[in-house]
Amino acid sequence: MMSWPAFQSNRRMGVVLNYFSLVLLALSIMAIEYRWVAGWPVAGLIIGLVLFVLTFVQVYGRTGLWKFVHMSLDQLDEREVQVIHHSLRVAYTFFTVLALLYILILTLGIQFFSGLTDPDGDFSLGSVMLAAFIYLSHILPASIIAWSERNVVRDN
Amino acid sequence: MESRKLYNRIGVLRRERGISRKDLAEEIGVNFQTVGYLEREEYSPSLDLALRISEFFGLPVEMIFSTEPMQPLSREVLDLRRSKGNE
Repeated sequence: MMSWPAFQSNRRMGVVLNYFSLVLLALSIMAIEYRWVAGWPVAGLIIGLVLFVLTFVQVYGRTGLWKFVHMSLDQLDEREVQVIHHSLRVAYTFFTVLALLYILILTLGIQFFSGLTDPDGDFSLGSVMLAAFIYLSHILPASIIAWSERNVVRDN
Repeated sequence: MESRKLYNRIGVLRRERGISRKDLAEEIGVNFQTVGYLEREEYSPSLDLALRISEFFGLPVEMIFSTEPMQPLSREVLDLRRSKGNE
């Protein structure tokens, strides 16, 4: 019987849910840090964390994708090297666009919505967003492969 | 530059010799999934890999790979016999 992540549609759903949980986690931590609203950030934090761990294990752990994108090129065959190169190229584009968008939002936030930022009215990158961007830089190539490749469950 | 699609007989030759994808993959030094991609003609191999495959099957590379859709081997043998008969 085929496992849950063996189906491309399931993996795509897992990728979307993993990014959703990452956004939920980041927003919840920022809401606590900047004291936006009381109450819901804790629920968001718990739901986000559970969803994040579940989707990460299913999409990137059980498929071996996390290991695959971090493997030395010497251990891969020529098709796999091509797959990795393609995913890195697409990931680089996505990451650049996302980083530029975030800088734009930061700039607009400082200009027009200083009340939403920290109590001092300062909108900095912050450790939460920094952690989210570091995670994103590692996971983007794997999620591109999970999204686009038909067979990803790898026998190592 | 867009490369041409490569057709091949890897699947037929592998089944004919009763080898699993995993065994063939080990012999030619690739992951077993790559053999699946090659057989479905979703991946065109490098010259080095194509030569390794032809060495493994003991056949000339042009008998395994072609840029034209490949005829069944039985048909090619029949055509060959007919052309020899006409000589």
